[in-house]
Amino acid sequence: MSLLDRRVVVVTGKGGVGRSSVSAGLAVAAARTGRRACVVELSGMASVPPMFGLRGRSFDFREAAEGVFVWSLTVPECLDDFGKRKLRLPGLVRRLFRIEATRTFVDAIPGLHDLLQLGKIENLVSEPLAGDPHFDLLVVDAPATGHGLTLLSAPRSMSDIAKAGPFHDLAGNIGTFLEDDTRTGVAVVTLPEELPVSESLELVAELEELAQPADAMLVNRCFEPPVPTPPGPAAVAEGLGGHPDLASLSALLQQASDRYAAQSKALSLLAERVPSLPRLSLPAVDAPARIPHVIGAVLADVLEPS
Amino acid sequence: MTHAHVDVCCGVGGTGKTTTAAALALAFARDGERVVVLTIDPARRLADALGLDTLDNLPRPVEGVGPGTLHALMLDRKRTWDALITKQASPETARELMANPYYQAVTTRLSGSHEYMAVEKLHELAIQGDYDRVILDTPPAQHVLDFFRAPERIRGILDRSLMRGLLEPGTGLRAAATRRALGVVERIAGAGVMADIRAFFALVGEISPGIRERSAAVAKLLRSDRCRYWLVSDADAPERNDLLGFLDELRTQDMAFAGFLVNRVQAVPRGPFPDRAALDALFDDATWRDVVADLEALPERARARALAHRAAARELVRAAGGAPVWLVPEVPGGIRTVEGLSRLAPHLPPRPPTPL
Repeated sequence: MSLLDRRVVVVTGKGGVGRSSVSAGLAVAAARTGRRACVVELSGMASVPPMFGLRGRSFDFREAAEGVFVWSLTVPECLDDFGKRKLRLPGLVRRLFRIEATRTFVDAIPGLHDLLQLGKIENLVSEPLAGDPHFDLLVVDAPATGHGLTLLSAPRSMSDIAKAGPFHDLAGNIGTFLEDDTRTGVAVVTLPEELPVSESLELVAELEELAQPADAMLVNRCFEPPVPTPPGPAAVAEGLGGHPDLASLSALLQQASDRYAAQSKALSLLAERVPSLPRLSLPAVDAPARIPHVIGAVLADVLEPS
Repeated sequence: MTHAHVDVCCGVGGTGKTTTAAALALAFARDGERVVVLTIDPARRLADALGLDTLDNLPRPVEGVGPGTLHALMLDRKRTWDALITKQASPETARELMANPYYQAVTTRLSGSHEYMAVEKLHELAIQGDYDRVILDTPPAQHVLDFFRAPERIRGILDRSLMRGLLEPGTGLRAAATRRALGVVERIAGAGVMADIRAFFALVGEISPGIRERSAAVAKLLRSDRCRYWLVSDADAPERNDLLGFLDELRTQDMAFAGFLVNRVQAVPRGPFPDRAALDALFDDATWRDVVADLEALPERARARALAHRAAARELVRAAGGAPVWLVPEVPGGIRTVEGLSRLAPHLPPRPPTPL
């Protein structure tokens, strides 16, 4: 089942690997294949809008490109919304939230922040109200590895703490939704380097444990070899060898092929350790303004070949 | 009382912050100081780079770094919490607290708990007198202040005076309103939660004063002139806006900014390089034509990358109003040994910054 056929795809991975770029690319890929997609950012983050020339963040849906929307959640907005929809207490929750002690209390419940935001997402998919927009795909730009796992384990944290009541039910619903592989997909983003790859392997194992296994490994910023294979850098280096004038060029070639060899090694580690996990290579893109579109085109071609 | 020098490495994730923290620590140890480096990243990257099989909550010596000394440790959040509780509370309270389900949740899952324990540990290392310098690797953050706000948030939670109103409303008009609010909260959260949390805060009451006193000391340490902040970035992904955002926050908070450390910088290629004719003569077979084109392009590509890295660094310096920058060379294939880290030392403080 293609990632693009899920209702929600959670994009996770270690910091700095380009989760937001890949999230934007996935939404563009969905739009290119005839879907309506929305990138969801959490905790007031807004890394994606600037990639499409939009400014700031908004709890309202904004169209960033044709068929691509952006949406940024914060905990207070989601709590307010939860009060309105689930407790039929419009305004009361907001007033409650203004009391310092209540705020401290909401802060003090582990997983509640995550749960409220995930709940809003699940709600839009499973129980939309009249006037809610329809999206075929919601791409959730999740926080970096550690916090991403915390996010996905929020339903469990809550079930451990709250044995009954609305939070317990909320946790149950979200847990079921996240674990349903036909509705929710998980994409892990990594870089073709040793340390990011070993960390993403740990992440894959931990996702497995959470019963939310990864559905794809997206390897971002892959580059081309310095010289074509065959003949390959070793043969070329040999051809250059012995010419004193060519020593500087040999050194550069050595450096470039070391970089490429490190990339190949990292990729083969993935192939070896998680052979059944689909692996997609995404190109390094120099111009920031083109990132979502270049990555989106590659993803659309691979995920849904025409 | 004077404490050790503190160097905090900040930056978004994926910029080689952990490796840089280790290399910086090694550079100061090579300079003769007694250094300890604390990583709080759950991945065992630092252990790999330092050639240690295990990193845990106790500083472990790293061999071959003289004339100074270098110790490394990785924050164990749970153990640091337990140690804090054991130190501050009576044995019975500590035992009861550790058995409370809410305590388990707070220590392992509450966001900000990691950061809180990191500054706790930092403070402990800085005042214990065994080290001249503590180097701190921070968790990936979008805002540098997350690191300082998170502990404040947790302290707020632990500070019982804030929660008292909610948990023990007492009598009177305000109390009646609070009780009503509490009723709604209970309705939302479920009654069992409140029982655990009440028990937790009843226990925490005993340690509140100690925690408050300690946090004042930690806050003072983080703003003292012996505590400096480094901003770490990656040459290929400078994320300039993020870095300058970090810098603004540091300055707003009156924290001492020490400079930029830019990782994985391409060296400027030094020729002479052969021209097309020379390469054609060398590889005259038609099948090598593509190779010749790529080889001819190599120096230009490397030069363009090297110049782009330097231009980005100059731009950072300019935007930051003339802050110093250290350019740390790229090591293809990454760093996995102490020798590898050593090769970075000449490019890092305490050596002077790179002329641009």
